[in-house]
Amino acid sequence: MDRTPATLSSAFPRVDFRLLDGHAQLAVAEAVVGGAPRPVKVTAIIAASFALSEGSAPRAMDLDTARRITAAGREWLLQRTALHFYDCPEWFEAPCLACGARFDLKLSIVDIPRSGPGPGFPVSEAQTSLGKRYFEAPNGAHEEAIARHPDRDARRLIAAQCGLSENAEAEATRFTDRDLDVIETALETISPDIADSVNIACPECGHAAHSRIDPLAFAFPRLVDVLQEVHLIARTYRWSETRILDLPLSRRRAYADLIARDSRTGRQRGVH
Amino acid sequence: MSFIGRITARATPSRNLVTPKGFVQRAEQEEEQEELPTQALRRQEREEEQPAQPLRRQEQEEEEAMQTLRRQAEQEEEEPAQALRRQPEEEEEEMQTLRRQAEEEEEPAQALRRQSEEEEEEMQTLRRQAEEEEEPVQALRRQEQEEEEPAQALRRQEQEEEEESLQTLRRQTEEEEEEPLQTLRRQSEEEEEEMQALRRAAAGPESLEPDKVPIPEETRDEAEPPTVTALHREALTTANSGMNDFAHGDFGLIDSGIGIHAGVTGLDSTGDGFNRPSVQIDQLDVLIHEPAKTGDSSRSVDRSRSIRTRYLRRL
Repeated sequence: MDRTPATLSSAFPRVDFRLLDGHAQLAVAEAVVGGAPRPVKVTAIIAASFALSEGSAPRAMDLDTARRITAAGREWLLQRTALHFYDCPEWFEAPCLACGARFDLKLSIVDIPRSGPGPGFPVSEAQTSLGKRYFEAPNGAHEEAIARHPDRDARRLIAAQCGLSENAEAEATRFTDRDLDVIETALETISPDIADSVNIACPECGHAAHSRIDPLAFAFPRLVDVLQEVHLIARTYRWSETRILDLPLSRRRAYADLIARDSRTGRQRGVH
Repeated sequence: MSFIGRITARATPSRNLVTPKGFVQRAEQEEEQEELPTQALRRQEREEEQPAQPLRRQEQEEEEAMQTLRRQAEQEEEEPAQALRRQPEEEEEEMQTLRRQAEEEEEPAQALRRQSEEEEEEMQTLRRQAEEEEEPVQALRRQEQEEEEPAQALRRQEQEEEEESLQTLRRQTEEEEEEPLQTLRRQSEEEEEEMQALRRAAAGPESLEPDKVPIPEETRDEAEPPTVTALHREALTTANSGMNDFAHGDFGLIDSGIGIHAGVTGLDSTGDGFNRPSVQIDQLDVLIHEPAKTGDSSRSVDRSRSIRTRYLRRL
């Protein structure tokens, strides 16, 4: 082992939500609406939403820390954030990619099953054709690398990125398929995991599919909605953007609702 | 799905997603609602555009017609202006032709002038040469003048010294000659002052007023001559005006002692047959005789003063 692993030693780190004010909401909304790869968005959302409470004193979750969390741990934090912003229902629906029908399914993301890390986490040991090699559990940085290089072989990329030897990049090209299988098994053994997809069969056509549950698709505030509320309050009360974003989410929403109601009442009086 | 397959699935976008029930429908409806106002606006714009198009066409046609009219008006206005512009240009051309002719005519004169200038230049060159040749002579002259200057200064100094000595001598002689004269003048002035003092003592303060002067003994017995006899001894029948036009004994009055010249200027005709002549005195010649001092000088002075006083009183 030539280098220290970057992946956080805590698979599901203990975190506290930051005060969910307009600034955090705006940052999350901007992260979601951007054209960045999904792992980059997840990093931004985690960094904007949480403070790391592990250790002697809580400290802010920066982007680097958010990247160093394991892939499963990041997905877990993303689901928690989604639940913070979105009151998730019990019923979901999914499209059938075969017949195009949409069908309902009942599930809950509140208690999505997850598995803890294996022994030796965050480092795994694999006996390859090049000898015994050590690999760290994949984290957010590795996910971002996969997203940046969709044309590369994901297994070799993970071997190169997660390898702790000095020549990991070069060795990754020399690993055989068997070596890569061994490496993947070793990594799966130590890595924590979380359920983020369901196996379903279309009730219309019976087509079996593997559908993913992605909170990014539905649970986070839209940028246009945040800006609309800020715009309403600023126009009515002549407050600055910073002052409005300083408000807790609930209070800002209440002001926006009051203004919208007054506006509706005024329109109705104008009609009569 | 393998472990790395799941990680890759999280890193890449997916088409097969589970979403909350009704989420997709709501999203589609929102999109439609957002689309509706914009579509309505576009439709409204299109609808407004349709009636506006004929108006715009009409406006365009009117604008074209206005432009045509403007062009015509501009052309019409421009033509006289161009003609006016052309006229000065033609005049200018004529002037230029005339100028060229004058220049052509001027050319021989210029040639002559150039020739004279060249001659003048030659003359100047010669003059410069002469001046250059003259310069050593002038330098010699200047040198001579410079050498002459100290001699002149010496001469001036000598002249000034001579003049000063002469003036000193003149002042000495004048002072020497003046002193006896001044002594004589002072003596005569002192004598005069003494005489005046004596006169003042003899005359007294009353001598200034003739009426108050006492009558001297010699004339005390004589009667005062009447004023009338003094003025007209004899009536004259003819008038004569002007000064001194009358002869002695013929016209007017002559007092030998005093010298009164008077003449009758006119006769007064009152109608009673008596003519009264009016006398105008033109000149009074008063001659005062003061005899030389005798032993009894005070008496003679008193006498002459009394005569003078009497005549003055009559006047």
